[in-house]
Amino acid sequence: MFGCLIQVNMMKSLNREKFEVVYLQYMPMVLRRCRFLLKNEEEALDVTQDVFIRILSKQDSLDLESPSSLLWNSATRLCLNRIRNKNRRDLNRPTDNLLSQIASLQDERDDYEHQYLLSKLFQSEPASSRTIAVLHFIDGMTFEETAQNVGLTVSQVRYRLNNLQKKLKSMEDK
Amino acid sequence: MIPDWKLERYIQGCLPESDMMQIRFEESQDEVLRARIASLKKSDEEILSQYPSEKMIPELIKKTNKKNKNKILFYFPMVAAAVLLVAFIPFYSPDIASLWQSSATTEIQEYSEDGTRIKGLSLNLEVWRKTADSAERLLDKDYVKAGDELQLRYSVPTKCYGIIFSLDGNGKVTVLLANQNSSVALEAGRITLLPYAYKLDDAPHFEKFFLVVSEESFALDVNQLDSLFNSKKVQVVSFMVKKELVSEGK
Repeated sequence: MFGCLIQVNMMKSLNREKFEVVYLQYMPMVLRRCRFLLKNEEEALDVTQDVFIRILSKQDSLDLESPSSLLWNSATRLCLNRIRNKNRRDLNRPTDNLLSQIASLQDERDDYEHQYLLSKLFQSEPASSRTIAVLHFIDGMTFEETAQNVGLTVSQVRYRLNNLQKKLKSMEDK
Repeated sequence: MIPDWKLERYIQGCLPESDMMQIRFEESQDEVLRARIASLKKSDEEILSQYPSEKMIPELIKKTNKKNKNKILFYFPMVAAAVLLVAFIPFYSPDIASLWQSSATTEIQEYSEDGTRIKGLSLNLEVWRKTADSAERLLDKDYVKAGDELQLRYSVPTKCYGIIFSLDGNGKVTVLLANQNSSVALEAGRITLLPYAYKLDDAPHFEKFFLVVSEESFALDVNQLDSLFNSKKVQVVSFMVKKELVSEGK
């Protein structure tokens, strides 16, 4: 019974027509974003697919009328995860230094998510401080623009960035 | 120079109208900008011909279905455990169950700013922060700083008695709504705004607000908070804000 219900929901969420419109309009932007951050075509395509798989999975609960920031931020976050995983495995990475440092930072939100996996099932995803850092330091968004993009207040963004800057500095000192 | 992210949104028409107009104007004047926009549009075409939707979408749908199936298998034990927990708590701990019924199901069906009585309000405490020309609603565990002005609103499901107070990181209790530490009658069916704002001092770490209600009148003894919270006659909702660390010289 449980399995049947899930299957029905999955079919319902795959609204192909709506998804195709989103794909045609935004896929090039997402791929360009991933290419810029990862500097590798194969990986960029892989992460781009991940972004759209997430969109497909959550199509019903997302506002897809104007998904530009959502897609941009998702691509950023997934690329950072990819860079961080490569850093951990010590693979050669042709990404720039600041990006690599941001990707390697321990994000308080990551700990929180891992510790409260069950509660995460029932909550929306929080904005990652690492994504915020890339939007501000790499993309050059102002505090206000960053806040608008991730749905936080300016003071919350400022606070998160202050903390990350301290961590970045301590990484450089080491 | 217009950053790439903004130009991407300009091409998609996803910027506010004022920004769209500004960039349109610059496009008409600036040759380099025109070339950047043309290059992005060309890149769009190249990417879509390299990865056409007819080929990619079926692949994505297939991967999504596979991922969802794996996700169900991964989360199923946790969801099942959560369902069992919720189902059995009323049998093992009626106190916890009654607290859930009273405060966790915040459901505002109808809303009235002018204080008109409305149905469907539950026990709830909201904290708002004053901004230059308006106010923003805070979420539990949001960050605030000394000097911020906070405004509280509450609602109760039935007519009852209540007290609102705060506890700061120094352990100091400040009573915000009471009659000399005795509870006051609270009216049900409306969202009530406390008549004054609360300016935060420099106490460290956090500020936690409590709304305590009971069917009977009760008193607050700041030295006996634990016994108040443990009393079966009261229901409690709380809201915590964290204090931002202000660096030296700031």
